[in-house]
Amino acid sequence: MIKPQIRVLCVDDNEAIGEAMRLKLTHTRGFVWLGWLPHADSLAQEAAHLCPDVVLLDIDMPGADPFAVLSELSGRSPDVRVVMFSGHARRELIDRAFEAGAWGYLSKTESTDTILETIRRVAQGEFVLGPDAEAVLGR
Amino acid sequence: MTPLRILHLEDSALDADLALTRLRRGGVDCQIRHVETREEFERALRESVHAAPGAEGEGEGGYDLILSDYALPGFDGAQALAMASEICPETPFIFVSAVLGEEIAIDTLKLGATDYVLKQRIDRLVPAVHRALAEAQERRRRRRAEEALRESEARFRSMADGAPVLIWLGDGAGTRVWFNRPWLEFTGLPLHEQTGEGWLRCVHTEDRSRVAGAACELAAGRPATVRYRLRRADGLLRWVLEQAVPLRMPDGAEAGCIGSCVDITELEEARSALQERSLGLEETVASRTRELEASHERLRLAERMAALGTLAAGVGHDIGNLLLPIRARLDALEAKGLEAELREDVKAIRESAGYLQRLANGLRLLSMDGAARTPAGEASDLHRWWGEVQGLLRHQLPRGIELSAEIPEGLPLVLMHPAALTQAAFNLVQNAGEVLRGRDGGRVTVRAAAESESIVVVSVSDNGPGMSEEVRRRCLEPFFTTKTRGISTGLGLALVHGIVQSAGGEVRVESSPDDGTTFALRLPASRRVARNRSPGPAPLALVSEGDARLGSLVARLLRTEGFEVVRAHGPPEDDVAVWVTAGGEGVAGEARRFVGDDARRRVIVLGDKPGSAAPHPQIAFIDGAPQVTTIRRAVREVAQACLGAGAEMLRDQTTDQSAVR
Repeated sequence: MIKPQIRVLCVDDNEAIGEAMRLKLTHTRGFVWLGWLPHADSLAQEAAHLCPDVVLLDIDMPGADPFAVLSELSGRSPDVRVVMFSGHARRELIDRAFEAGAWGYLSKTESTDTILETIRRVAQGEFVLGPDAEAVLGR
Repeated sequence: MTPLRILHLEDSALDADLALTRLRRGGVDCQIRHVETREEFERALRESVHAAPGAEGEGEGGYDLILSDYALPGFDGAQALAMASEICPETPFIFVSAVLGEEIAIDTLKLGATDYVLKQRIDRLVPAVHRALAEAQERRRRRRAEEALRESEARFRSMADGAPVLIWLGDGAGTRVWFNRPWLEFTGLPLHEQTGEGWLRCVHTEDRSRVAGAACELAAGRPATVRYRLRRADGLLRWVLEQAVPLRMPDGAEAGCIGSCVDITELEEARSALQERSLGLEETVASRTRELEASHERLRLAERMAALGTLAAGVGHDIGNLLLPIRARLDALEAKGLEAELREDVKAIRESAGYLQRLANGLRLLSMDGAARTPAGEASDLHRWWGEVQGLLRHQLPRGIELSAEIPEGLPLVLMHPAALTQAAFNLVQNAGEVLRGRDGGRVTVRAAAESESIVVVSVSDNGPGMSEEVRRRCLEPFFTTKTRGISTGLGLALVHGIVQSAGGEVRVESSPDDGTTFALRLPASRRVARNRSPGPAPLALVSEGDARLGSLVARLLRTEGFEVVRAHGPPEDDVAVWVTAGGEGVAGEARRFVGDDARRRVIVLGDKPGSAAPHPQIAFIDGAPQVTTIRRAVREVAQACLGAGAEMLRDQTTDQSAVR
């Protein structure tokens, strides 16, 4: 099911990242900025409440283990698609993310256009690895 | 003191008494035998010689002095003198006569008489006797000295002949006059051929000047030591050590010189062997030092890379994180519609951010361990790889710089992931492009060649200005750059080094001024040889996986491997080569029917076990929760089996493995 507006929630302990995504998404057609969470502790509840289409989830954060939260979220809200949003792409992290139910793996160093494109494709039902993650896995 | 023994030939007893009296009165203690005839005289002489054989004229038995009248009946003084000269030549003979004329007197002296005394002047007798005796004593003393000298010389020579060294004697001018027997035997030449300059024939021509130098020292009265080669009788040159000293008499007068030589050939040989060995040792030490320095250099680089790794991970991560907000804000600024001037500023900021991004990317790649950077078990077909990346690489070069390649088909596969190889080549080509920027006729050449069965060399060369030795040595170090900061991160070549090292290879940098630079990547080679993928349309893959996420992942991986992907429910149509399906009841049977007897068809069953179904080489089951890496591996294996080159490679790989087993 393709929605005309993609509802995005961002989870990152770095406020600048949250602010950057807010700026980008609020200025781009086709996206709805739902807000920013500094940790994943309350993500499952917030997701149930906000009904995001796509969640950008940081891996390196204080508080709850993002992978555990991802597993819980995948079970509770299967319509919410999570894209792991990390500073570094590593094979075992990509495997863990997929296993826990992630729909994508994206490096923060990708261009903002790539980030938006990834969100779009995931929202359309495609599993997406960012260029960095692809490079790590190989062709 | 024994009395003087005198034989007196005199026919007049009165004259004989007179002489005796005169002598005794003159203080000469003597015994006189008085003879009157020729017979008595001769007998007395012979008796004296007989009594003291070999000591005539001295000691017991011999006479100390003969006195003789000149005018005798039936005998004359001249005959008596002749007789005495014959029998006892050493005994002084004095004529005592009344008739001796001056002429006769001179004649007798010529014949050997010691003196003459006229009877008219008998008072001269005593001084004459004293003088004669003194002269005789002096003669005896001289003779004894000469004999002692002869004896001493004979003793010296016999000693020298028996000595185990070569000995020679020289005269005052340093000319050699005598050589001992060992010398003559050593050189094999007789004495007369060696005296003077003769012996120099046995000396090596190169050493003659040294020998002459030693001779000068000797002539100047100083001892001399010299080493030279002396030809032995068998023709071999032997090293000898010669020591010579000038000889002096007790009174300090020069008395020639003496020298001795010992054969030191064995010593010399041992010494030169030692010297050679020490030279060899020095060479070994030098080469070992060079090795150690090189290894130290590598270690330093490795340490720097390792230390950097930890830091790089953090810094790269943070820079990357911070750049996102920067870029987002720039996007936001631009979206507001800026004046031209501000747009320029934004553009400048964006360029700086781009540089930071490259730095962050480089740092992140550096921080990755080898396994993360280059997945194991990957191999690249260089010819195919080049076909895929040349466009990308050409794009990195400034306008006017030519990119050419010499990458033959049929090279062994290199054991390195194509992505890693691309990354390395990308950096090298980019680097070469920077070096050549603005140069006419700039050219970058990428070559590949098998160095041995186990090594393939991929090199990137430029015809630029080349590097100094210092730059060549350090260029692989992280953050080492010759370019302005802000343009170069100083990480590009370090990254290449890291990537190649992770793959078990090595980077060599060859550069000389005016001759450009070549980076040679020596990469481990597979024993497999690349073959061409069979041409034709992409084979069709059907993905019948209900789970959208999983299906999407599989489809994506299949497309990457070169399949055309259709997502629909199975079972597949006839034109499908690969079928990926979720497990479930009856799937195993459907899979078998689909494969049939077509060796190129493959099936991947996700999230299921083969159950009771017999294993089939063309049907793979991925059990449990699928992982990106396991699915990817399965898809790649299927691709290798289905696609031309892959099929060949797979077969070869199987052969390899069985060979190893």
